[in-house]
Amino acid sequence: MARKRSGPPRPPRENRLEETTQDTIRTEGVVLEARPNTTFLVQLDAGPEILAHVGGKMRRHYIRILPGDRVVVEISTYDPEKGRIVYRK
Amino acid sequence: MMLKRRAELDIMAEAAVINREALEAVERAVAVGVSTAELNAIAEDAILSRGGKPAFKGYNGFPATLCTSINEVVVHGIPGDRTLQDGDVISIDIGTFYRGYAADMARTYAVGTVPVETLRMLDATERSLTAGIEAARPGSRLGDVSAAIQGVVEQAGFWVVREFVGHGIGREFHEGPEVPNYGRAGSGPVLRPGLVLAIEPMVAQSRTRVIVADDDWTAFTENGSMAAHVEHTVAITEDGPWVLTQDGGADGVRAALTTGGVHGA
Repeated sequence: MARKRSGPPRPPRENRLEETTQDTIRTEGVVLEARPNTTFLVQLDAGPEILAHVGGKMRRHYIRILPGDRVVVEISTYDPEKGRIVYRK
Repeated sequence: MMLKRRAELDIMAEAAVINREALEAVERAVAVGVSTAELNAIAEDAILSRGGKPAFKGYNGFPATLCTSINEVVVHGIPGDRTLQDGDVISIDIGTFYRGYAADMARTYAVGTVPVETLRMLDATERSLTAGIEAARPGSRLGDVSAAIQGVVEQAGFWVVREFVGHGIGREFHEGPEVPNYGRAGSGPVLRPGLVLAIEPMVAQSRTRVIVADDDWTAFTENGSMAAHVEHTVAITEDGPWVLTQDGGADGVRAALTTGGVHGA
């Protein structure tokens, strides 16, 4: 009698978040300027300018960010000055 | 993963003989018009009359002694009123407990006349089991067994079912490790003398998922393609694989096992 293969099934693709950190806010903005160490100054649509780095998954896939790009940013609720770019539109 | 001492393997070999003889009794009854419930009754009588205990009955709530899996059913079909028709492909899976140890085996039969393509699948499934057993040697890895099975099946152009796997067997009916029928050679745990595996390739005619029906058991191919399933209980010995459930298994390879007892590994 065969055994059912163990292990939780992978969630469907659409339910998987690009970055799964909790306590973050997602917003959109425009990249103003490239800064050292692959950080970028991003002008959020809501107004403030924040410093954002490029998410690990985007680095892995060599998604390049240039000034002028529209991007989705995840901002930590603990430090609203810093964020992570998780998507380039 | 539990390793068995020599004395334990001898008991498992006896369990395997009872199990195989019971399956052979069922095999003689396979014919057009016979119901799967009748086959189940034959199996139960055969096991009980030889002093064994049906291992499937009551296992996680399974209601019968046999799994009878017809056509698109891959495994875990429940015996019932369904009668065998000309052109059916039926996998019969049987398990026995004897003196505290389990044996598990399965074969797939063509009833009457079936398409050549189906016969080719049955042949590939049998050959994949043989290849898997050949790879089950001390010092090899579990992935070598999996890869050997997958290689034969895919070479023949059929699909390896992923949703179900083989398993370790002994005092418990299902023990670790899981034995997938797909994988990479050289990966996974090293096989050691005294390990006993139920190796069971499950093959579908074409690429498909396998779904479990509302009865919580019957596992069938989503695309309706025919499936085959064969199984042996195999002990790993210093001298190589000892196929306990094979004809002559009880007096087959009698390797001098050097394992001193039961180890966690």
